[in-house]
Amino acid sequence: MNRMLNILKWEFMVRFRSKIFLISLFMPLIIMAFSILPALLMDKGGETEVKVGIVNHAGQIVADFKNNVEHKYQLENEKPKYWFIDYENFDDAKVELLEKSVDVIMVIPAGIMDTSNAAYYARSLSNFIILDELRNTLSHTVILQRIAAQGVAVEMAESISKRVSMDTFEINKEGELTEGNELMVLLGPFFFVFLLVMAVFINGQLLLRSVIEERTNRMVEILLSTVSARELMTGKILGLGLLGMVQILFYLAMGVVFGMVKGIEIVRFDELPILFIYFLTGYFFFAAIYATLGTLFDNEQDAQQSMSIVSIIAMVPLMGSFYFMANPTALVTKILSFIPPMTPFMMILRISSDAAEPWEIIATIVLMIFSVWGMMVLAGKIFRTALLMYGKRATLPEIWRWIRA
Amino acid sequence: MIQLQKISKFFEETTAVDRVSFNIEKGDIYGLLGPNGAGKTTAIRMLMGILEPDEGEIIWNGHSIHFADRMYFGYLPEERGLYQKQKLKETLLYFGRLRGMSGKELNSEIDMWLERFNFSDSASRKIEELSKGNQQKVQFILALLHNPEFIILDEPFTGLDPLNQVLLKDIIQEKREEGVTFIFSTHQMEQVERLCTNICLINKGKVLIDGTLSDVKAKHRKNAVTVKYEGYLKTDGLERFIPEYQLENGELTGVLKTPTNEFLDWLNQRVEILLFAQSTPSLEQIFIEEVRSAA
Repeated sequence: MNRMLNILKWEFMVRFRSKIFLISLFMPLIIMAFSILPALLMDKGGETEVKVGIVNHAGQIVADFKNNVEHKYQLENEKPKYWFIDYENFDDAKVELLEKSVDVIMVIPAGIMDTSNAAYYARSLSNFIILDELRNTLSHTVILQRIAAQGVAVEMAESISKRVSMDTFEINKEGELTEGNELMVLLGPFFFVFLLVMAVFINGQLLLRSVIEERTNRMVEILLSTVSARELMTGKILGLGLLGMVQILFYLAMGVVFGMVKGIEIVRFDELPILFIYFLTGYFFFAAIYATLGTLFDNEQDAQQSMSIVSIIAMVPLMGSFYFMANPTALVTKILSFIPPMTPFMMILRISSDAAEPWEIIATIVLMIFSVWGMMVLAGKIFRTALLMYGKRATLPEIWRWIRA
Repeated sequence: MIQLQKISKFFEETTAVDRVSFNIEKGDIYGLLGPNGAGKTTAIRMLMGILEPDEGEIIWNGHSIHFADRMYFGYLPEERGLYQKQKLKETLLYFGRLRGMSGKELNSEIDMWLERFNFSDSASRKIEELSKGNQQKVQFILALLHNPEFIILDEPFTGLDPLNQVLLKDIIQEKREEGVTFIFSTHQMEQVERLCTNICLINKGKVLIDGTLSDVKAKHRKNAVTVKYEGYLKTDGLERFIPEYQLENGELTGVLKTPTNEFLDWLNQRVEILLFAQSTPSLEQIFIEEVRSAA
């Protein structure tokens, strides 16, 4: 026990004091900053003016549409956001679009009052804000016209067709209301899972590197003559786990501070204990795999390939996170929640979306505890034997034999 | 003190160590010799508990060896490395603590060794900043730091300059006088002849020779004798001692078949002996001869 604690302390301190740790602490934040930057920029989509090419087959209604758009959407300098250029036919407009003289093209057909159908062309459809604004206004203009055609006065038509706006709120478990910020609500759990995945991988990688290092510099011989393989493995895994906890606590603190500045609740303290359980079981599960991989390869390059397979499995929840958050009770989401390597990440996403049943939380935690236990036993068997094998790469049948031994 | 009783280790189809037995007494410096791949390292790893023997037993002070007994072992592995990025003293502290030392005792012990090896100014330097020979000395300290009763040194002298070799030898002798027991594995036969009290020669996992250095040498003393004498030597009865002899200008050569003393008594009564020489092979010759004849 004492020896194991010594190893734990060494593994922790050696890395805690290193520059690499500082870098790994801020790396995920930097990656995250870069990944949300475009989204934030997109949110302020009204910054630049947009040239809209119009191919008009519908007559007067388009003039009303243009008028409505110009009134409704203005830049910060109070100039109109949208400028319209008329084209005789689509082909001319298309040439100009490709030459970037216009940003988007709208084709308004003659029968729009009946068919309710128009077309929108752009070099890329990624700026959905422009699309939304133009579509909403066109739709509103057409509806106004239809009402007016029934002999209703313009003012009355305006008030009939007025769109309903909705304020969004979140109700937490205590029943308190918080004004919702959809972007944050969506991104909060995503970030948390992202940070957990990063913490698991960074420390898993450190663990793998540390095992490989001790194998190649043969310190493992001196270590194994003093401690048992089990103590060595446990000490290493716990030491780097502690390092991961420090990382997570740091991120949480950042989240709390950021939330306080922005006035939103990013970190929900009532969920923290459960999130920590998922983090720890997730970390231990992967740590056992990484520690074992470290014994099977003589250098990191060789280990990389096997590692990437492991990583991809764990990345699934992250890659599909928006789908899983949007569909937290879908069958796929539920099934993936019960596949051990993905369980912790899936469950954190679902708990953040408030869509996990208590029985699912209990069941997955029990599942994770058993998986971690099984993984550790398996890893222990391979670790002991493979640790001292040099030069020759272990084959799968050999590994299978060690597991059964 | 420590006994290997018919221990064997099998890897897949090969038998790395084949029913090896030997006995090491307190204060011995036991030379473990053998060609490359003979099974020395495997035997050492079993002694250190890094590998478990598949057969046989290791006895430590009268009982079957237990994991905790090895806290009193020191080990310098043949293939060496240290945590390159870590500081010298911190590495020593870590391994000292792993071996149950702590506090003042550990600190003063480390300082003593650092001083002894001229490392006092390098205590806070990173290992990677030390020369290869100096790193080797660090590993030597690692093997000695916790005052073990039993120390295994695998090729301790390779890569050291003559001055440091002498330093190491002095420390080994000192420790031996304190009652520390050593196993010493090497290919450098002259080191073995200078240091070891006992030797064990292993080849292909089997023990070829085992005994005190002087016994082994005595046993391999080629009884080739050369005698120079004055006077007339009557040769009747000589063939009883040396069946095939050569006599020339007062010099007798041949291979002696009887104990030396009997022959000398017999000879003394007949002539005046000017010189009597019996050639003793070097350990290196014994090594080569034994390994070749076993092949």
